[in-house]
Amino acid sequence: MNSSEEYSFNNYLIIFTTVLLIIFLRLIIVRFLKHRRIKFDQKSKDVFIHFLRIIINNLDGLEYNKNWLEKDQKAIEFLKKNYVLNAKYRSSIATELLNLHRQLKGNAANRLSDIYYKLGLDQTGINYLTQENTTFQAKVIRDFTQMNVSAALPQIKKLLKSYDATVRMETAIALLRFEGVSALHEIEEISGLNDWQKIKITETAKRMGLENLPNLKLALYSKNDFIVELSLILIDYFDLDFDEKALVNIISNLNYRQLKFCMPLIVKSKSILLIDELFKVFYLIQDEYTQTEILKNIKFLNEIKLISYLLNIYYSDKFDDAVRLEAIRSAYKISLHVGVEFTISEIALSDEKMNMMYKHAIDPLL
Amino acid sequence: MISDIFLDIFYLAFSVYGSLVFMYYVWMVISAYIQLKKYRKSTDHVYFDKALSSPYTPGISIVAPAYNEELNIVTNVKSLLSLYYNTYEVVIVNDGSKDSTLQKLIDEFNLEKVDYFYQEKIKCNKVRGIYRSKNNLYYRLIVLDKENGGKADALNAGINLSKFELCASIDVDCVLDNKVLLKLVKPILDEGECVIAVGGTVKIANNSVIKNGKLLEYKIPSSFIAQMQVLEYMRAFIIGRLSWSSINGLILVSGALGLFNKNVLIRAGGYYTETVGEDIELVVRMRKYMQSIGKYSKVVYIPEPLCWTEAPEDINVLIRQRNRWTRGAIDTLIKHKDLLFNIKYKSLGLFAMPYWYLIEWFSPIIQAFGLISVIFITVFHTMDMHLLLLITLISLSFYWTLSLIALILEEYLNKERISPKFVLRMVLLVFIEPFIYHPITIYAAISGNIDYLRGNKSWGNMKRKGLK
Repeated sequence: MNSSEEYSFNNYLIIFTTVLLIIFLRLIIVRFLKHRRIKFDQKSKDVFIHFLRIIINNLDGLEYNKNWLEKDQKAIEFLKKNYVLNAKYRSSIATELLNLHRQLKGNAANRLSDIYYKLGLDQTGINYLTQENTTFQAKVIRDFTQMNVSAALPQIKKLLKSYDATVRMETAIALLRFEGVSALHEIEEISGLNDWQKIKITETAKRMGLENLPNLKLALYSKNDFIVELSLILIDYFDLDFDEKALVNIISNLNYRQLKFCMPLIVKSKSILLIDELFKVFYLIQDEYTQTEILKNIKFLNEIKLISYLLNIYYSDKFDDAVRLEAIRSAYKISLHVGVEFTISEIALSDEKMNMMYKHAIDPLL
Repeated sequence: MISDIFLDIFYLAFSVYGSLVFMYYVWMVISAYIQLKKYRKSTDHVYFDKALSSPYTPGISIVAPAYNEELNIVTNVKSLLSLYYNTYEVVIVNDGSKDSTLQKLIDEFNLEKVDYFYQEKIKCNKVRGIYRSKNNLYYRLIVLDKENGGKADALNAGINLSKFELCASIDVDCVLDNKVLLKLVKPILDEGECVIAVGGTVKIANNSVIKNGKLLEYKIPSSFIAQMQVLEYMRAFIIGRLSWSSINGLILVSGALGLFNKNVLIRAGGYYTETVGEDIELVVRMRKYMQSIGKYSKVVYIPEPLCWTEAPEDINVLIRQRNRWTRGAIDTLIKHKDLLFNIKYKSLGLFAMPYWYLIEWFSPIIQAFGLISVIFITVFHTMDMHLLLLITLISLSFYWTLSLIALILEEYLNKERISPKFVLRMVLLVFIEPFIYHPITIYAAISGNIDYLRGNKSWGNMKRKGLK
């Protein structure tokens, strides 16, 4: 090996060692940062718990009034000055407070809410709303919704048309919490929500309580599919009245998801008008799961005249076997309930497949 | 003269292949990191419980084939019946077990044979009976007893019986995260029907504390071979799967755990029974089917650990397992060779498939060939030993670097779960692996290639201790 080759070889060895060293250092830094973060989090938690202990010790009684924190001003100022104003502790303290708040109810939750405001966490949050970072925006809206920071509503509303779907969803949830379902007309402007986001909004709406719900009858006529879906879910959940014509309209639109959400309402109402409409469109449905879902619900109607409808489906080979099976099952269940003897034609009994469907339908374990 | 030509070809081939592999892995590491950050952001403040009672959440049929599982079947089924999800059923397929698997199920769950209308949407071996429990507590459970036909055949039978629009195929001996179904269904709720399959990270649970089918405490396996596999799985999942999912180039959803769109699965023809790599073959065929009907499809990977499995601790079992994986992959790559460089399939055809050929299939052969060549050159030619050392060091440093990056990403993902002891042990293993474990996997892959050429389609004896 000549000297230039040796030089080059040494260079490679140096590069090789450097790469490994960098990776090692990276790993060590990650470990170090993790350790530091854990220490910070633990310290923040300890400080906050210590602070809460002081406040609890100062409590005069369990009775709650708006000025209960006045005598704790010193402790609040100390926590604020030394920890809340320091970004590295603030996030952990806010998380700790919010986690605790989520688990509590009544006066205990109210007191934590007061502490949140006194520490100025609402003000620091508002600053994040104007920043471009959508992760922070979504988080702050979520925190504000939980802590009921209604003062931030004008800023939150501006994010209703954010390019980020998560921010849009959190905004919708915030509007529902702050304005009740009267916010539906604003949410109507939101589009492009995925099912996960719809779940979050509908579940929030369910938790709002019946007293906050306006008349949802008009919402069933909305052109926004999600608003219709949300209204159907809420009407079912809170057992509210609804306009049959609106439901006829929804059924005839043949939106499979909305059809599925209509079923509990049809079962509850037992409306002949709706049942007739449902069977009118049933033959037009191209999805076996929607058909099966409808038939599963039909059995709860317990109407004698439905048996012949269902038997027609069972006899028809236009439908998927799973649909025909569900039809005969529902027919059998209805017949048992209304006390009518259940019979099927000789043709069906001699047809092996139909006979097996029938046996399945009458098996008590299925 | 001839040896000079041979040497030139050797250097050229090494450079070209090495550069390609290097570029692939650099891209994989970068994209895995970006994807991981995206995933962390998307799962921040996600409360899965909200989906439990929502009418938007679809039903899931869990299909679990069981063959000679008498030891753990009852515990495993009970664990499956207690998952955190609202609308689901558990279909256990007894694939002609020779032991008392079926009897154990009948006794424990008070099963009775029923007149079930069974539709054979996908062809499979004869069904001997279908059982339901007389105890309402087990209303989710349905057991299908059939003649032995292998795992793919059993899965097909279970899918025929299943009633929901999504079906999760799982290995019955795996331990699942309690929220596994909620986590698997989220990508479908996020992105809609274009998601045809979802896979999750499979972790090794040898030596971990498991009670009633639930993982109570994760422990590093005591067996050296299993420890090596922990590192290998970490690299394969966190760098491999994650990077390919970032460009929608995934063709493999682990057979241990996967969620599928049942309609697409059935229309694509179900699991292919004539291969030992039914998991990879199915995903490729489902993607081809979606392409054939002009619909966009997506296969999503969740980097979170959702499933814990037992890794072989015996070298012979490990070799047989890897041999089978190799044969399965080759089978699929040859059967679906039309995807290679096929522009219709975009990133899948242009990047993912070449990767599978170049690295997953050819790499062990090239590595073995390289080793033989080095011996040959050293014996018959005065080779520059410094150059040889340099090549070895570069290859090793590259391999180590990849493993260390996988470890860093793993720690980034699971900050709370990874202990310093685990990190330290893994760092040590990173340096040992290329000398002890890697040659074993190379040997297994080479033997897999040879067995494939011989037409061997057997699974081989996969006897393990079982997770306790």
